[in-house]
Amino acid sequence: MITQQDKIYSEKEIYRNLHPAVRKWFQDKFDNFTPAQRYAIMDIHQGKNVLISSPTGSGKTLTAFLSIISELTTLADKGELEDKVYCIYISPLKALDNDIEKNLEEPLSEIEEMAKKEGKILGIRKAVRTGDTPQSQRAAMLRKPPHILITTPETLSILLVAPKFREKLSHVKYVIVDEIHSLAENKRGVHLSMSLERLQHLVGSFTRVGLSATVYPLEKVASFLVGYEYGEVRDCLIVDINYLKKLDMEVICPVDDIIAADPDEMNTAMYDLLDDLIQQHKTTLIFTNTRSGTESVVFNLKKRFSDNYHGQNIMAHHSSLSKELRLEAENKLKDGELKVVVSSTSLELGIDIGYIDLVILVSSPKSVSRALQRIGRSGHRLHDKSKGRILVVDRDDLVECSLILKNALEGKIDSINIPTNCLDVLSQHIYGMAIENKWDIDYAYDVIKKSYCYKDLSESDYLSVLSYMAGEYTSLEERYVYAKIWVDYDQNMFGKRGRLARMLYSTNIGTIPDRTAAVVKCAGKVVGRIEEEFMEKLRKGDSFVLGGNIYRFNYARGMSVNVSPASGPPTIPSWFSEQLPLAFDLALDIQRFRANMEGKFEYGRSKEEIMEFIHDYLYVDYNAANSIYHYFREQYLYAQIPSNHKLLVEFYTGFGGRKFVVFHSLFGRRVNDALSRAVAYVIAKKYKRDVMISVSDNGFYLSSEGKIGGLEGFQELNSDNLVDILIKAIDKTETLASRFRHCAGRSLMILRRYKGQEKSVGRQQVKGKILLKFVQELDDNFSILKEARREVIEDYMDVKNAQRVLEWIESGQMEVKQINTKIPSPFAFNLVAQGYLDVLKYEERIEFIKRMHQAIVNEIGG
Amino acid sequence: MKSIEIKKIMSGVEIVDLALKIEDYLIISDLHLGYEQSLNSEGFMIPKFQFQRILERLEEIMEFLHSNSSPVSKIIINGDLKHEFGKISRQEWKEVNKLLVYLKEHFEEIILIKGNHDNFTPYITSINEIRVEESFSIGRFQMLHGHKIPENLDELEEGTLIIGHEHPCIGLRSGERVEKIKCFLRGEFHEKNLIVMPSFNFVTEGSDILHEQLLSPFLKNLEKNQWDDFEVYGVENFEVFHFGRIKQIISASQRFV
Repeated sequence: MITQQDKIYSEKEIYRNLHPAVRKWFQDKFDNFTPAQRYAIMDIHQGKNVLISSPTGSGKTLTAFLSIISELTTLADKGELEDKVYCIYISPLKALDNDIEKNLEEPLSEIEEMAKKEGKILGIRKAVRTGDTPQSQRAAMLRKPPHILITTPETLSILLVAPKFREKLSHVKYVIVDEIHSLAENKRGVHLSMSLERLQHLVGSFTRVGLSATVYPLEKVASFLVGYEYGEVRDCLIVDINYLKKLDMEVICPVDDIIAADPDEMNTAMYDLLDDLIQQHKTTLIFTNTRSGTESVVFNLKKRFSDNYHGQNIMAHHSSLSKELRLEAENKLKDGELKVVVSSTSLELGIDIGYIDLVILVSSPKSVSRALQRIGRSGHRLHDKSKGRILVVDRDDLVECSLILKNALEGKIDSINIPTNCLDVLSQHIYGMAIENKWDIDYAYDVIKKSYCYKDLSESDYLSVLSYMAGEYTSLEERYVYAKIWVDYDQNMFGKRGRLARMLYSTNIGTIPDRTAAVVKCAGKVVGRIEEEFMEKLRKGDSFVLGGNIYRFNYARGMSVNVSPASGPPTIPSWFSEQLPLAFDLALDIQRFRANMEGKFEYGRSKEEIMEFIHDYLYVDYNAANSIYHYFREQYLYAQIPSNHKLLVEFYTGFGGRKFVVFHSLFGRRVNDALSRAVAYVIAKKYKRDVMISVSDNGFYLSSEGKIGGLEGFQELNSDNLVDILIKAIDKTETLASRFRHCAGRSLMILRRYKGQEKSVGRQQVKGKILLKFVQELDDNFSILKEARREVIEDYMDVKNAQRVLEWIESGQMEVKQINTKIPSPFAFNLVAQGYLDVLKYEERIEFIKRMHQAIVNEIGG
Repeated sequence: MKSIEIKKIMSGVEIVDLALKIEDYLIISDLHLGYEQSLNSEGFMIPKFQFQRILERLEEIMEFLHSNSSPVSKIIINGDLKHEFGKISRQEWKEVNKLLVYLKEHFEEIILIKGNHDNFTPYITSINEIRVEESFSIGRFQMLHGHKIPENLDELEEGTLIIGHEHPCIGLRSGERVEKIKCFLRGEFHEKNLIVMPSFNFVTEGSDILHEQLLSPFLKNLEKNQWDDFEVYGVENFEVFHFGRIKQIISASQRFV
């Protein structure tokens, strides 16, 4: 059962249970225990599973480690400390692993010192083990295993198949998962949850401790941490110490009137404001959402204020930069040498970056938890205030960020989405399990279902993965090449195949696709990495920004890009990085606010009353309230205000008679992606016409040369047929093709590292398509294809919430209202201004070829 | 049975699906048997599937020609029968042999032309007593693979050269959508007629001659105006689509976008 921990222990109780040396060490260092420590230390001591959620700087890691250190000290004191691993600490980042090792150094060596004075030697060891650990250190670890092993999810799953080291793990008592929220929401977490079950199967039982930032619902994350036993969630206590850290958070707009300002004016005002804020503080951390945004902020600050910012005091930090450059930025931050650092998302997690007194978010963080996580990076200790400023530059951003502010201050957080039943990750684990030993098919199924992510795994999906792994899609005589495992259905057993199994597994597991593989070299030195799609766009002579510097593209050879330093404005302004989608819960809150506002206008409230309402409701200043008031008033007077009760569908005709249908569906881009593609597919089929679609967080539009029938198409969708239609709609998309390639990689149908060679992503794309074509013709239910579709509609898009929206319409909770406009209404404006995203075609390949042939022949004839 | 459109590409030469027919010779090119195993060795664990398709396709073509009372009795493979450059893979041993046995059953004469991938092909074919030639002529037509230009080019009496190697296809683009379709090319080279054949394999369409770099030295060194005048015959689903000259396709498609 998952229960909220409400018992707070007294200091005396906690001290009584700590080893005297540990107690003394703690008393020498700290005045008292933090709340998190008073709630959690005793329970960990008693071997209970605990999820601790509290802001950065609240002593979370020490909370987790203190009773473990005490326990190890007690054992060592009694001479009972054995050469085996007692505790495994897992974090998503190698950098965080290294930080933790450093942080453990102090207590361990100081406690050792104290013991030495009493003539004792404790000898408690800790060590980091990741993909970067050299062979010599690995060998040393086998001879003398660390008592505390610090690692990553991927390395853990490799250790599970290492025949000798596996032995050393078989008595683990504690597992700590740090930054668990950031793992749980993607396939790395799915992978980890299965590794933990495999570890549990090896060990029997151990205590699980999860450390999480502010997320909702904690019960879900707790279930993810502890897993299930016989269909029931294992026990877990939740320690929730949030909002103790005070928030000083504001939404600011660089100009007085956001509606009237032109883009240049806005841009200048924004950089002036940024400079002001940075100069008023000691060290500022700026978050943009994209790598290109990061590059552009660094570039512009340097250009506009060359006296204030130069190579020595401003740096960019994002995942495309080389490891060395990122490390340099982190170290300079720690040493207080940087005035400002600009990051995309890479500095969100808890690596040690020293003292930051201001966090600025340059664009909407798109979710409340992300806003809190980012702003929480400022203010060092628990009782420091976290100071954050969100800069908004357009009207939709203003409304969105104001709601983020409201929800952050009121502690209302968006719910986390944890992917489930991922068949590609399952393939890896089944391989790993088979390498460990032979398994009974049913017994292995039971073990798999203990993971939160597979508790509802259907037997047919499980068997289809076994069948794939056994190479049953190939002829019997060829199977030895493709089969990773053997399955004996008579004996109901499976096991590994091939002598290279362990090597293949160890070099190919993991869930992060190789998508950003091009290395950028300047005069032989690696300066960063760029996405492969971006590399393909580059032509000789183009210049672009990377790491705040401008480079000219010379040539690309394989996945290595040769550049030389350049000056002047970059010719390629940005690269496409996936934008962060707006959280669904937050989107609904914005819709509720819209409903409130409509009510005010309906009842004829005065401007003062409405301004007062906005000011109180959203905690924004009067300038912001004024802009919001005018924005909504325009929409109200010109059209109608869409809301959570009313889905507004706006028809208008653009240049050249082009028809647009705008759906004011403010549900976030993931839901809108699903809805728009499904509608477009229905229309394309029905009217045999190409449909252009464009999607944003606030809605989507469909556009076509003739009558679209957008509403009729939409009305054919319902919560029952949505999934089927959507799967057909994505069938020929690039999104499915690239996700399929990633899934095939995770399922080990594409081996990234095989026979000593690492492959370029470019070649993978072409060959991935050959594979997709083959699989599509082979079996429509092939497990990898099924997983790729699931990933697209559930993880990339959000089909589940899209179904909820359709249910609201079916139940009458939300009405669909049609209006016609001559020019797009204010709320539609941003959406219509953005270009189209994709075109849905109704034609089969042969029809397409015939049409194109005819068109070319006509052109030639005419 | 499939109905196949036969299209004359020049006097004496007809397009029959992805093959050419001259007199009672059937000509196919660039089979690349063993490609899957080569993909496997790069880590793409795709099973073998194209041998079966090649055989089926060949059967469909022959059945049609037979019923159309224009049967063929000889076959020419215009280079790159197999895929690996420097070795013979297991798959290649097996499939090349199987194919030759099949061809022997159906044709009176089998002529193999050496492609750049065929360094080791003679080892397999010698067992079947089939020779591998650098080139082969039927009257005024000469078949050669096309990865190098013969030194005695200007002394050749044949007025028409037929090459493979290039795997030509054209990418048709409309909006976001691109479809590649295999094609034959016909143009002029050193005062001779030149025909370029598409590949007779079903792994990929080939390389887009409108947008990608050309491979064959016959095409790479052409003057732009000569290249622009090449005629394009697309082939899809047993139908032939005459697209006109390259320059016309380019200018027409620019007007679409």
